[in-house]
Amino acid sequence: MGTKICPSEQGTLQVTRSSGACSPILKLEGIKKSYGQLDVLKNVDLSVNEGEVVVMIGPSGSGKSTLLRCINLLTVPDAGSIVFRGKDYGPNQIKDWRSRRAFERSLVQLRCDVGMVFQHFNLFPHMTAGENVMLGLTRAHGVHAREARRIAQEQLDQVGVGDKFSAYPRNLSGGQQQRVAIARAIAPKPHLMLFDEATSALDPELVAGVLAEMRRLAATGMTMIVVTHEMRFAFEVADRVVFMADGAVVEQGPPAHFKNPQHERTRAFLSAIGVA
Amino acid sequence: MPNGRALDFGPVLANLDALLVALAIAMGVALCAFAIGLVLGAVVAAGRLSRNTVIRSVSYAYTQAFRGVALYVLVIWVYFGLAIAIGLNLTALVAGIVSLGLLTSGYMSEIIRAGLVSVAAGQREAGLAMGLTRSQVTRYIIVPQTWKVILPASVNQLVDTIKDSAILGVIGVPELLFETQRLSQMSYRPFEFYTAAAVLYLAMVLIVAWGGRVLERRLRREGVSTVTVSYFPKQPAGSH
Amino acid sequence: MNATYQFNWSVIDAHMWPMLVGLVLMIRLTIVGMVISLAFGLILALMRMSAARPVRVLASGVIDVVRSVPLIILLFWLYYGLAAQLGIAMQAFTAGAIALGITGSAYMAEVYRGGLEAVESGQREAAAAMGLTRAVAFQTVVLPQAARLVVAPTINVFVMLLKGATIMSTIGVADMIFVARQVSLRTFTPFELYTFAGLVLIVITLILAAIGGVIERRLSKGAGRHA
Repeated sequence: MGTKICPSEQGTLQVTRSSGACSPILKLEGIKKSYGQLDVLKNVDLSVNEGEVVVMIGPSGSGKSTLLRCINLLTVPDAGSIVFRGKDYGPNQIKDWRSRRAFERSLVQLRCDVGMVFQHFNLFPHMTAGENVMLGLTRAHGVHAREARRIAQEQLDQVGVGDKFSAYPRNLSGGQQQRVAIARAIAPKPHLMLFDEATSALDPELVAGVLAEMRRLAATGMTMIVVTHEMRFAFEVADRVVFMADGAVVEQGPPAHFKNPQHERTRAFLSAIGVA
Repeated sequence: MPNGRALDFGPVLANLDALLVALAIAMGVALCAFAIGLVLGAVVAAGRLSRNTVIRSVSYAYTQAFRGVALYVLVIWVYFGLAIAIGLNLTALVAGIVSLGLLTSGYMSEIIRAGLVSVAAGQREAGLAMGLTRSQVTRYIIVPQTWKVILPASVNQLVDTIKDSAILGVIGVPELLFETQRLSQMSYRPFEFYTAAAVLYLAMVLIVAWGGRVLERRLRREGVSTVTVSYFPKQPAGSH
Repeated sequence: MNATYQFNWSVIDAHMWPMLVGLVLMIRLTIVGMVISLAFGLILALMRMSAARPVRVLASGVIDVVRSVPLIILLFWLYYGLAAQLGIAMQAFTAGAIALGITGSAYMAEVYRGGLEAVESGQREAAAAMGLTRAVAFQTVVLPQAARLVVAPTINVFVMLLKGATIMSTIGVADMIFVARQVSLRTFTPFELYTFAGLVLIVITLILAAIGGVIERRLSKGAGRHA
């Protein structure tokens, strides 16, 4: 166990990029999730194309973070299908995975190909920045330690914390920690990146730097789903903005569409935060 | 069990009243010791927060000493050592309660101190800023907020004190262990009697824990939120 | 009655050797009890966190019962009660080690569980999100962090067992307290001997507690999220 489980060949990446530009890389259908009486997600559909940057906005408690966590099954939805790169990982399939082993293998396959950045960074405090980046490469992707070290250094350089390879997270600022977390997530070259309020826990002066990294990543053609409260960033970087409220997608469209939103709920939200 | 023998709880049931009296004595001893521990502990806790270095050091040494000593060693030192050396005519009961009380006071001083320092510095500042004196701040603002730390930890300590009180039977305090020893030797049913004693201690601990929870709930209704902890004491994780 | 107690501190010097032999026996007993606790405590902790409800309930029942019953009752129950009931000849040292082992296991189970549960859920999530299997995530992310958290509480359990070991002279283990009593019966100097024994034990306890405190402070510095 632990060796090369996930496909991450460079070749496939190029092929899908060029040929399948209009077919969705991710297709969520009928996602439902409730905690007891509370319906957090009510039958959500969402599809994301290769190379697209989708930004999800909405009031807190609208279910956007939960939806994001459903994509890599950190939260398992009650119903719906999650088709990622042609394979369904939804709960209906989970029932079909007869053994725990098969379930786990399938989860690992999905998560190896989906990177995630968390609100609270979740760096491993007992490992240096470099080791944080190397861990997934060596233990989930079967990359040799020496090669992993090279990739880790390269990725840390890319996000501007190359000199912090041997530093422990406690000695880094919040902004530096989040950059390391981004490097950690993109090092295995995932096909999809998830950002869960990646700047919400940062001091205001550190937000811009992290947003710049996300912008840079978007420019490389990475497929991204971003949950954020940063409206300027949302309207500037997104190919498509998705507005969620009360566990459902209310409306979505290119940023320009939100200059003149269709729904009263959207208008209310945008004016409340001082955008429209 | 080739050499085993049949269980017979008859002698236990026949002597149940004696066991219950001994249990009551154990409880009384524990409560007296706890009361001593509470009063001394509060004094020492205040000493540990004093601005006077000497008082602070002495209080700290007191806490460390009584948290470092084992009850059995303390009680035989007091009863067989100190009392004889200074010519004091202590009964086993008094020596036992004093020893257990001193031991408890070491732990209580730490609990009360932790409660007092748990209140955020901003609370004191806010009180002073509105024109209250230092003692008013302590009385009306700090102390009411310490309960949430002190109460659950004190219930844990009471459970510990009850458990520790069993050791006093060794010097002849006629509590539950002592009585169990006596009866099991008389009847030659040690397994049954010690099992019964264990069950009685378990029941006593559960009742105290339950009482603590009720008290906590009542306080919470009055707006004092408590830190919920398990009622099993000397939680090694939190003992320094 | 003893208004003219004659202090004679030289008895300590004269009986230093047997006292120290008794101390070593006490420490040996504690170590044996601790080894049992480390192993069985882990088993109990894993049972306590099992996915199967009956296993979980059984483990927490055992843990709570053991922690509610005084050590001396457990000791006498084992040595005078169970041994007689089963008709086996149990040595005092064995009974003492088992009693300490049972008590220590219950406390260690809670220490292990506390350590594992104190690792933030975000850590497990981050490990899962990067595609690590549960086993690898446990081994590389959860265990190393939990291990730091249990060091200091484990030393506290050791201190607790050492204090518990002092009662073993009541069933005839020839430890330091036992020696002090035997000698004082001949020399009539209980105050000096018990004072000495008590001070030695307090010093050992305080040193261990201080070591635990230093380790805890050093390790907790490594676990903070922000600088």
